[in-house]
Parts: sequence; C-alpha cells; structure tokens
Amino acid sequence: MTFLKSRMPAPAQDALPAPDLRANGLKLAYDDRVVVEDLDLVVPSGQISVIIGANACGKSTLLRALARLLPPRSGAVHLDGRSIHSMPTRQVAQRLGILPQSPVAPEGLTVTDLVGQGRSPHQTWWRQWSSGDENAVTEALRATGMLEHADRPIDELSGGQRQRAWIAMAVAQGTPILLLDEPTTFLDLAHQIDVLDLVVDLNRHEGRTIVMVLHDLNQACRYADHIIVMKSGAIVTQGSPADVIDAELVEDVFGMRCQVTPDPVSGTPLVIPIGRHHR
Amino acid sequence: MTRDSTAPAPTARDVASPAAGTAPPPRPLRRPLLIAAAAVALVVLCLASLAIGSRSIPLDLVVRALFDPGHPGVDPETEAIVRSTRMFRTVVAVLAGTALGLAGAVMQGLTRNPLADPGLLGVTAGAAFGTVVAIGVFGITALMGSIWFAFGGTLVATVVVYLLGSRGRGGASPVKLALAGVAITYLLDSLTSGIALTDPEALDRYRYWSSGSLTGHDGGTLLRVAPFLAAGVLLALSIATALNSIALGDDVAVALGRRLGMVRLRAALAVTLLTGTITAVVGPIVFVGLVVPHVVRLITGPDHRWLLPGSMLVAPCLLLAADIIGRVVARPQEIDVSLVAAFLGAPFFIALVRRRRLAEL
Amino acid sequence: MLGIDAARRPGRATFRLTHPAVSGVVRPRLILVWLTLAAVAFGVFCTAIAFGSGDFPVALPDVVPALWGSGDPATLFAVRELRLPRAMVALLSGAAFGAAGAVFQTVTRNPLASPDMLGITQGAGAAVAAGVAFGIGGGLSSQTLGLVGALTAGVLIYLLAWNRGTTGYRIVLVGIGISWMCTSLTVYLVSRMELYQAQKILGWLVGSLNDRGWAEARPLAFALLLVLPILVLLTRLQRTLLLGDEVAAGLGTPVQRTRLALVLSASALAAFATAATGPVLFVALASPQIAQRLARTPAPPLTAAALTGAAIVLLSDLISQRLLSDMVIPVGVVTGVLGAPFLLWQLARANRAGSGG
Repeated sequence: MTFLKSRMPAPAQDALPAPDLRANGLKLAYDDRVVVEDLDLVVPSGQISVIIGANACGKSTLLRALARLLPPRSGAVHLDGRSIHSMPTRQVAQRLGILPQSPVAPEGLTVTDLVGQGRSPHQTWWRQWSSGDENAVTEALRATGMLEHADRPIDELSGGQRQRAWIAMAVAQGTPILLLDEPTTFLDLAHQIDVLDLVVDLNRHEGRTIVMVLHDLNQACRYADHIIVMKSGAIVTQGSPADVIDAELVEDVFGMRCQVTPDPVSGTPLVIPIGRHHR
Repeated sequence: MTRDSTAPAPTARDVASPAAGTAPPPRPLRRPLLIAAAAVALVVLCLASLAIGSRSIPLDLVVRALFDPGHPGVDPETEAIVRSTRMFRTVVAVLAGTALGLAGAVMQGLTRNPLADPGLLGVTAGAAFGTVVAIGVFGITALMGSIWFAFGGTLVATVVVYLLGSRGRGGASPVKLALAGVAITYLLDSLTSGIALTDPEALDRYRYWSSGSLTGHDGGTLLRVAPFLAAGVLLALSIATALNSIALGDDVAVALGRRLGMVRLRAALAVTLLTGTITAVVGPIVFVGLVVPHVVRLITGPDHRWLLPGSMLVAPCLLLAADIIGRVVARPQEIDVSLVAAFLGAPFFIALVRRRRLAEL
Repeated sequence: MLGIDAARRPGRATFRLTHPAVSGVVRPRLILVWLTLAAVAFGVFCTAIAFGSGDFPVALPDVVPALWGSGDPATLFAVRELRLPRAMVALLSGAAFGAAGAVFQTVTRNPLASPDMLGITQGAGAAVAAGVAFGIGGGLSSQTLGLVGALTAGVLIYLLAWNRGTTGYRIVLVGIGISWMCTSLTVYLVSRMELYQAQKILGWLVGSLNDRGWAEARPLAFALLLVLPILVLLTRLQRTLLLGDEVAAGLGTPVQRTRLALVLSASALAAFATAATGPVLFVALASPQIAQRLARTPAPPLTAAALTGAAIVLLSDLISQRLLSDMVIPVGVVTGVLGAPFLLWQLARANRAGSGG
C-alpha cells in the first residue's frame, strides 16, 4: 500500500525546454464515424490536466490523437511547434509517453522486462542497457512499489500490480509529457490514490506535464490543475476545477443531477450525485 | 489471472473502446435476415443442384420427380437421376456443409484462434491416415471398408490430442489443444505421405480421396452415418451459450458458472463426431469449415447462438454452389467441390477481411 | 571496461562497456540453449557428413579436418564434394524455416502462424505444380519457380492485408485465404496429372534433400546472410510489438514499417528455403515453439528457433538417408515424425512445470 514513500529522483528533464503540446482544428474519426470535430486544445505545460466526460464522448480518442496513435482526418497536433505526425516517431517517444487503456502483455514476460521496454526510445541496437536505462527502470519500479515483484511474470500478478507495472513502464520512458488513459482502472481505492499521488510526484518533483483521462469526478477535481470537460466530441469548458465544476455543468455533461460542495479535505469541488431515489 | 488465449490481443479493450477495431454492433434485424436469406438460398441451391449437371433437367420436372414419383410427364430415367444420383449428392453436400460449418465455428470458439479449422484436433489427418492404412496395409479398396478405418483414425487421433492437450495444470487450454492438434496432424500426415509414397496404388486412391468428393454414396451410407451427425449437431448446439462465456476468457467463464473441462470435452466430442463422420465419407473438404464461421461472424457478431446456426446454413450453401460450379465449368469433366470452394471462396473471403472492421475472436 | 552483474536479477545479466559505449541484457539460459542447440546441430552435421549418402566410409573424427581441407583425397572428395553440399542445404534451410516461423509467430502473436500455415509455402507449391502441369518455363528449375511462387504469395499477403495499416490478425486471415487458394490449385493440378508427374510433384511437395547441392545451398546462404542480420537488428523493435500496436507506437516503434520489414524478411527466408528443399512442413511451426519452451522466453526466440530448425532438418535428413535408405522417404516426411513427438513432449513438460501453454 505504501509504495510511494521514497523520494522521487532529482528532476532529469529540467534542462530540457518545457514541452509544448497543442491541437489545432482536430477532426478525428474511426472509419465513417466522426468522433471529434474541429477541436482546439493547448495542454498547459508543467501542469496536470484531466479530461473528463461521459462515456463515448471522445476522451480516449482525443488522448490517442495527442499521442499520435490516431492520425487526424484534418487539423494537426503540434509538439514543440512541429506537427507530431511529421516527426520521427522515436523522437516523439523521447518527449511524450502514453499508456493506453488495458494493454495486454505476452505470457511469461517479467515485470523488469516490461518496464525495461519503456527505455526502448532511448536505446540503440548496440546500446541496449546503459546505466541510464538501469537507473530509470529501478527508479520507476521503486516509485510504483513494484521493486519486490520485479522478477515475477506479469500474468501472475494481481490486476492492481499489473496496472502499476504498466505505469512503471510509462514512467521509465522518462518523457516530459505523460499521457495516461484511465490509469486507475483495476485498482482498489487505496491504490487509486497511490497512483494519483505518484502522478502528482512526477509532476511536482520532475516537472512532468501530465494529461490523463479519469472517470471519478472528485478525484479529477482533487488532482487536476487544469480540467478539460468534453461532451459529444467537443470541449465544453476548461480551467481550474474550482472555476469550472458546478452542478449545472455536471447535469449538462453527464445528465445527472448533483450537489457540488467544497471537498472537506482538499477544498476542491466535491460532486455528490443525486440518484432517482433521493429527489 | 493467467490469460491462456492463443490470440492474446483483444480483450476488454476491444469491448470498452471503439479504437481497437471491433465490428459495429449488429443491427437487430441483420441476424434473423441472414438466417432467412441463407435458408432461402439453401433451398434454391438444392433445387439447382438437382437440376444442373452433365444433363440439365428443367426445374418443373425436378419438382415433379421429387414430389410426384411415377408421374407420366417425367420419364423414368430423369426421375432416377433426380431421385437417386443427384439427390444423394445434394444430401451429402448439405450434410457435409452443415457438419463442417458447425464444427469450424465450435472449434474457433473453443480455441479462440482464427486459424482453427475443424481438422485442428487431428481429425482430418486421422481420417486420411486410416484411409491410407486401409488401402496400403490391408489392401481394402471398397469405399465402405475404408470409411470405418477413416472413422477409427479420427477417433484415435482426437483422443490422443485431447489427452496430450489436457495434461497437467490448467487442463485442456486452447494453446495446448491447438499445438497438440497441429503436432499430431503433422505426425499423421507425414506417416500418410510415407505410406502413399511407397505404395503407388495407395497413392493413386489417396489423391482422389484427398481432394474430397461428394459422389458415389447411396442411402445406405447416409443412414449409417446419420446418427453420428445428428448427435454431433445436437451436442454442438447445446454448448452455444457456454462458448459465449469462454469467449470472454477462461476466468470469466468460470465466474459465470461454466465447467471449462466439461465444455471443452463436449466441444471436442462434437467436432470429432461432425468432422470425423463427414471426412470419413467424402474425404477432407478443407476451407469451408475454416472460412464460413469468419464470414458469418462478420454479420452476426460473436454470439454463438447466432453464429452456430448461421454457419450451419451458410456452409452448405457455399458447398452446394461450389459443387454446381464444379459440374459446369469444365464440362464434361467435373472439378472437385473442395477445390472450387477454396478457389472461389478465398478471394471473396479476402475481400471481406479487407473491407470490414474485424470482429476478432 | 566491462561490467557484468549476473546476481542482480535471476535469469538476466547485463553487460556494459564504456569504450565503446556498448551495453545489453544477457539471458544466461538463452545462451545455454544457443550453445546446446549449436552443439547438437554441429554434431548432427558432422555425423551426416560421416554417414551420409554413398558407401564411402568416413570416420567421424576425420570430418572436421576434412572440412578444413586436410585428409586423404578420397575422404576430401567424399566430404567436400559429395556430402557437405547436402548437409549445408539441410542446415541452412532448417535455420531459415525456424527463423521465419519465429518471426511470423511473433508478428501475428499466434503460435499457429508460420509460413506453411499462411500460404507462403503453398505459393511455392502452386507455382511448381503449375510449372510441371503446363510446362511453363521449361528452362526454369523447380527451385526458381518455388522461389517466385513463395515470394509472390508473401508480398500478396502483405498487400492484401493492407488497409490503412495492417494488423497481425488480418495478416493471419488473408494468409489463410491465400494458402487455400494455392492449395486447391495445387491439388487440382496434381489430380489432373499423369501418375508419374503426380508422384514427382508429391515428392517435391513434402520436401526433399535428394540431389541437392551447391546450386541450392548458395542462394540460400546469401539470403540468410542478408536477412538474418536485418532480423537481429529488428529484434529490439519486435520486442515492443509484443506489447500491442498501441504501446509499441507509444514507445516510438514505427509499427507499420517494422511489421512490413519483418513480414517481408521472413517471407524471403521461407521462400529461399522452400525453393531449395521444397516445403519441408512443420519445421517452421514447431521449431520456434520448441525453442521458446527450451529458453522459457515470452516469445519465440529468433536465433534459438533457427538453430532448432537446423538441428531438426539435419537429423531428419540423416534418418531418411540412413535408417530408411531402402525406401524413398524424403526428409519432409521425417521432420513431422521426428518433430511432432518432441513438441508434444515439450508441451507435456511445460505443463508440469506450470508455465502454461
């Protein structure tokens, strides 16, 4: 449970210029089905941004487009001023990491081997395991509390451990921008908070820019510096959670009546849903 | 939480997000429409199969010969052709299609592998081996004699594959079953080739048997194999919902109350009964059992309650159509049905694979 | 300076040079498997030369010196002219089949995928059968025809599976289609042939090393020299593909280009090997699986699979030449009889060790 006790390593990316990730006039589609149309977004550098919205509103699609996994039909994503699809993909991978939803590892792959794959954008065929790789992997394992499971095969792990192993892989990639698609799925509440605290550490100590998709509105409000609210493929509003989240917005976006009060712990907005039986 | 699938890619991700390439959910009407269309096509193709051949018979005479035997308007020769030769050929094609389509769908569901065909558990190789042994070792050339050898071969092969594939922890997992089946298939095929290559007579007989033929069967043969087929069909249909659970992964299937060992055993038994019987009679008809379930899955989606009956109806259509084309294109010669099915079906199949978002297993 | 720390993780050691800055991960078990397989393959190779076709006896200890050119003229002739070429074809084709199978199984993430399940081998068969049946290219050997057929099938599979990118799954399905088209064409042609032609074709279709020599070994050796380094260089990227296309792309692997390079390289290997020996079935499918279980790696290991393939084909050819010499059993028949029980034994053993399928 307490896998985040250790201090994070000294920020390695400070020397690099702050990353700049933005989308202009994005149109995203799967075959004939347009999911996102004419979307503009500037990802705030050095902050934690959280994308929220109802199911199938295009959150994950947007995240995949930001990570150049989904080529836009029109418009473009720019990383450090260059169109992300015109950059060598390896160069992108050194600046931007993505953890997709529910990835699957082959049977028998150990945690170390998986996390080691995170170093692949920094490796060449003659330099496959530098001391930098070693340190990054060890640090990522320590930060996620997976050090003690380092030699176990992924398929023997519990769902929560497995998720942490994947996060460790993304952390080991050592990119100034990290995109996470629902990193807390499969985790119990304590581990959810652990992962989110880890994300904050990565942001505060290492200055990494984080964009993640979260389902839990209250966690989103607590951990986001910047919240992006989506509905039917468009950004409804964005800003700091306190400025953005109110009962009216939640009802509009999620179709759910609720009360919003300050979170007694963090002071951020706390969304309390009102079900059909409590009117 | 050991994932034990042969095709490890698609799981929850495909269900959860549209990103990973699942087929759009089938529209409610599509599945009944497919069944109805396939049933109509089957009837039409049956009539065509009775009418078309080295001697064409007008459709009204076919119908008359069928339902009104001894009608003065139909000469006895025509009636004989319709009611015996072509009738048996058509019935064999329908039975073979039904059995192979169903067996293929069950096999792919059982192993969760798109490369699985009805012969995967060593069934076809066992039948071939039995046939060659009957001819090459025992000198049996009569069809009915070698059928029982073929049937015996399938049974032995499947039992061996199942015992080997279900050894040890985890029982008969898809990967183990598939690999054991392939290994036994190659082993038997090698032995078959070995015998065939050293015995010219066996080779000659084997190469005709091995290209699959629907002709030369009579009511007696059909009656003898019918009980096996019927049992296989019933057994296969009875596990449709269980296969749906297995498609979600072994753990989910167990959680849903499925006894994996029993389901796999019943599936293997059903496939053996269906494929073994048909292979023993008509020889190895490849491709149909492999491809038809993929085609049907594109329309019905992965629900086995629709997939199994759909495959049962579409496969005989493909086989009949291939048989009819095979009779016509190279007159006066005929081209074997399984060759036509594969040669004409494959481009169609490739086009479907390219066009559609794939419903992965 | 060289640093190796084997103690840090079980089953995994790292080495690191500072000048030049070379580093990597070493798996002791994999290396042990390599050495063992190489030793086995070399042993069978020498045995095959000592006891190979023809009646001239060569003592086993004389084989290695003779390979290097020392020994009496008769021994030298028997070893270098008569038996070495055939043993080389066996060694090289086995290695090519094994490596091709390993790549296909990794790319498609499917243990049943191999060039002989996906239509490459069948393409060669159809081309050769068509050549015999229609007398196409009377000047072309079945080697050339087979090569053209297999390469065509490989390229066709990739092109037809391309629809804004390929997936392993679609390659498998298109491969099935191509495979059965070629098979049905071959069977049709064979069933229409004269019996003597059919027997000749069937002999080719199960794979044979009879009358194979330098003419077959040389192109195959060139192909391996060219393609194997490419595959070794691609291993790093191929490893990320095992995590799925999305993760691999996120890690900076050019997914489509890597897959194209892998599929074409493996097709070329399978094509050259098939051209040399005919479709020696099962080797490409079983070798990677056997190697994976020996080395206990998460995916079929390339080098170990190649070595396993070489050992299987060499041993099968030795058996078909010596033990069954009074019959006309070609090597392709023996590989099945030899490889299948071994794979089955491996399956049963892996079960007991508890490492799943």
